[in-house]
Amino acid sequence: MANIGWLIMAIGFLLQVLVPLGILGRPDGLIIGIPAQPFYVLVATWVLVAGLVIVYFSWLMPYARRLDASLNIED
Amino acid sequence: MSVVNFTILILIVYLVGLKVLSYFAHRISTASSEDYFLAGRNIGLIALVGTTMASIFSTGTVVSSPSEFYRQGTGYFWVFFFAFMPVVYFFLATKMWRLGKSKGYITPGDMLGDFYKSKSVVFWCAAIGLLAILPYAVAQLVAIGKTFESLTDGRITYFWGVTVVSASIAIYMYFGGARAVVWTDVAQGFIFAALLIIAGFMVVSWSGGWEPLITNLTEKTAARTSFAGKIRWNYYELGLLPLSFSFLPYIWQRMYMARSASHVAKNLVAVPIIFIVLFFTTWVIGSSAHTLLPEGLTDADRVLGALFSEKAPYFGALLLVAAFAAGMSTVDSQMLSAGSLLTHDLGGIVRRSHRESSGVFIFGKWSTVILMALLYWWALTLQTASILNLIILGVSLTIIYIPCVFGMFYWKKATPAGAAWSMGGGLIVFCIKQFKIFGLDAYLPPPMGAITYGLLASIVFFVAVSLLTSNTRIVHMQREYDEILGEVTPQPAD
Repeated sequence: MANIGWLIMAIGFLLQVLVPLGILGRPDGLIIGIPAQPFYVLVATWVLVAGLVIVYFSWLMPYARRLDASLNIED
Repeated sequence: MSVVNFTILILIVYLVGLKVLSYFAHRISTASSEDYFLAGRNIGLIALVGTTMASIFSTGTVVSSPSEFYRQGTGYFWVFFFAFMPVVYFFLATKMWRLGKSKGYITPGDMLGDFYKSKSVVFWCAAIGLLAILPYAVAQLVAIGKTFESLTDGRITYFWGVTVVSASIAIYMYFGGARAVVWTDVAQGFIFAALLIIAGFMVVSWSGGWEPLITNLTEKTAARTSFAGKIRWNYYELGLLPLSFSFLPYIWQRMYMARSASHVAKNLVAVPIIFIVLFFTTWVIGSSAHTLLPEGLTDADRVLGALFSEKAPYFGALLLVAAFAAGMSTVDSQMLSAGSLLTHDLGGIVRRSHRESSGVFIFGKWSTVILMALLYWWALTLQTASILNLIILGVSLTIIYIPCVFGMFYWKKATPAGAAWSMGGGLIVFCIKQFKIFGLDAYLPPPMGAITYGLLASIVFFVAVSLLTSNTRIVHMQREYDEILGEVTPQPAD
C-alpha cells in the first residue's frame, strides 16, 4: 500500500512540474469554477497530498508508533 | 473611534496578551537548556501543528502572497511546491525525534556533529544555520516595522515599530523560552489563519460571488490564468526552496520538541493540507483585486490594504495585525534557535556533560537577547532594503545540509570528511554565486542560481570525499543509530 502512496505522490509531483510546461495543453475554460490551467496544478498538488496521506497511514504512522513503543509512550 | 486608534488599541491588546501568555509559560518552565530551547520535549499535537504553521507562515505569507498572485497570477504557482516539503521529512523527522530523545540533541549541529564525530561538521552546521536564520529574521523585522508604520498611518514610525516589537520578543523569549514561543505561536497561528480565510470569503462576497470574480479574472486578465510564456528555469529553481526550508534550524528543532513520534507524523501530514488551504485563499484574495480594484495599483504590495481600507477598514486593521503577528511568531522562533546554535555549537562552548548547568542555561538566555539586540540594530539600517531577497537568501542556504543529513541515515559510506567538505564546499560555492566573489561566478553560468549550485556542490563534495576517505570513525555510530531506530536487532557481542 505504501508503494502505491509513493507512486501517487510521484505522479502528483510530476504533474506539478509538467502542467506548467503545457503537457496537458493550454486550455482556456473553467473546470468546476476554476481556470483550467491553475486547476490542473491544484489537482496535482492534491494528488501529491493524497499520496502523502496513504503513505502516512500505511508506513509512517506504524513506524512512528513503533518508535513510541520503544520508549513506552502511548499515542 | 478612528481606524488608526482602533489599530493601535488592537496592537496594545495583542502585545499585552503575549506578555500574559509568556508569564504563564514562565511559571511552569524549569531552569534547563532543554526546557528553554525545546520546551522540555513535551509539546502536544495541537501546539506542534500551531507552532510549525506559525513558524512557516510569516509576514510574507499574509502580505506578499496575495500581492504576488495579484502581480504574477500563475507565475507565482511555484509556491504550491511547498506541499512537497513534508515528504522530505517523512524519511527523517521521526528518526530525528527518536535520536533527539535518546541522545539529548538540542541543535542540528548536535546530531550531525555527534554522528560524524567532527567539530568541523558542528562548526559548518552552526555557521550555515546562523547565516540562514539572521537574514530571514531581519527581513521579518523590517516587514513588521513597515507594517506598523502603514497600520498606524505613520503615527508610529518604523523606528518605534521595530523597537517595540524587538523589545517585546526579547522579553517573552528571555522569560518564557521555547514554551512561551510555542504558546504564542499557537495563538498567533490560529488567529492569522482564521482571519485570512474570513478575508477570502469577504472578497468573494464583494465581487458578487465566485462566478463573477473568476469570469472577470479570465476575461480581463487572461494572461494571469495561463502558464504560457511564464515558465522559466527560475520557476522550478524556486521549487527547491521547500527542500531547504525543511532544514532551517528552527523547523528542525520542532521535530525534537514533540512529545511523541506519532505527533511528529501527524504534524507532517497536517501541515501541507493547511498550507494548500491558506495559499489557495491568498490566490483568491490576490485574484479578487482585479475585480475590486479595476483602476489597478501602482504598488502591488499594498493589495491587502487597498482591498480592505474602504469596504471593511476595521477588519483590514485586524488583518494587518495578523500579518504583524505572523512575522513576530517567525522571528521569535528564529532567535531562540539562533541562541541555541550560538550556545551549543559555535566555539565548542558547551561540553555535552555540562549542558544542564545553570551557567549554560543563563548564557543561553542572554545569547538570545543579545542576538535580538543585534538584529534590532541591523533592522534599523535596512528600512529601504528588499526583504524578499533577504528571505530567499536565508531560506536557500540550508539546502547545503541535505547530503549530510540523508547520508547519516541512508548511506553507509558517508564519512566525517565528506560531511565537512560537503557543508564547507557547498557554502563557499553558494556564496561565490550569490555574492559574485572575485568574479568567480563566471564559472557558474546561468540559468542556475546559488541554491542549485550550492546543492550540486554539496552533493559532489559529499560523495567524492566520502569515497576517498575512511568512515571507520563512525561505523559504531551507524550501528548505534540503527539499534536506537530498531533497524537491526542488538547483539550481545555489540
